[in-house]
Amino acid sequence: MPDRPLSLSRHSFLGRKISRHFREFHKDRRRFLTSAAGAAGLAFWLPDGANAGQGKGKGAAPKPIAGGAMPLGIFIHHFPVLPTATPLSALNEPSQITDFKGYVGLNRIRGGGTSPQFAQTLAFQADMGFMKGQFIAEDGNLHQGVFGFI
Amino acid sequence: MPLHPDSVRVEFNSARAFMHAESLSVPDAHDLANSLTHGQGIVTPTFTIPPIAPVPAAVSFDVEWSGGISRETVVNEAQNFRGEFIKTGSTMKWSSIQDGFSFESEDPDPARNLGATIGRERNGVFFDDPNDA
Repeated sequence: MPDRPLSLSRHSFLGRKISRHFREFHKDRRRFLTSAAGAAGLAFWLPDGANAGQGKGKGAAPKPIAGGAMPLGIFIHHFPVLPTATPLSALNEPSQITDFKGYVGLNRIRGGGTSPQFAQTLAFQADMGFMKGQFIAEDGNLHQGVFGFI
Repeated sequence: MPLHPDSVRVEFNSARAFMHAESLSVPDAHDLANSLTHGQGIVTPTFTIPPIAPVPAAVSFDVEWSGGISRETVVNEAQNFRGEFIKTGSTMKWSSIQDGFSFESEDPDPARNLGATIGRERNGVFFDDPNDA
């Protein structure tokens, strides 16, 4: 875990895209959503935190897929859902778990919501998903389970 | 994160799936940057997200995938997965509560969907397994 904030180059492609994204959507995040986006990403699989919050012994924990995306330049074992207009032939691995066979689901919703603490409608976006099936855990044994991407 | 076995129901042949949770304990990391950096924040030349420690929260949600748009068998050897996948519509009802703040999303609206897919897949050591789960 870094002991100071991460830094990105302004000239990098990722830096430009992130900058634009934050200007347009996350500029004052407390005002549009305090909780939803914070919970989103909670289930991201970070290399140094893969077993955090699994609630079971490490032995039964599933193993993350090798690939993934890099939001804010930070690698996670997760690919975001395909936009509706993109054909399934372009699909990236929807599961976050490897050595897995079962059902998966991913989606992205953007809308609005309300809070007693705010007079105005708040913007809302959530990426959600699930994996339900069998997997070979870190202990090498076959397990059955349901996992949520929240 | 692990969910209760009954929290997800899949009716694959009908292109439908459901995910439900009630009062699920989660940390609210405040924003994506602090979620990814474990509360360390992030600094770039053009924006700064200050470090913010997570706080306990509880969330409830009902997510539904339905309305098959397209269906395709995908074999992706580079990413080592294969399966049958269905692009669908989706809706969501979402709420959260924590000390000093609560939020409830608008009623489920199919027009709010930006992308949704369900699938029956095999990956890793099961890539060549002829038996489904």
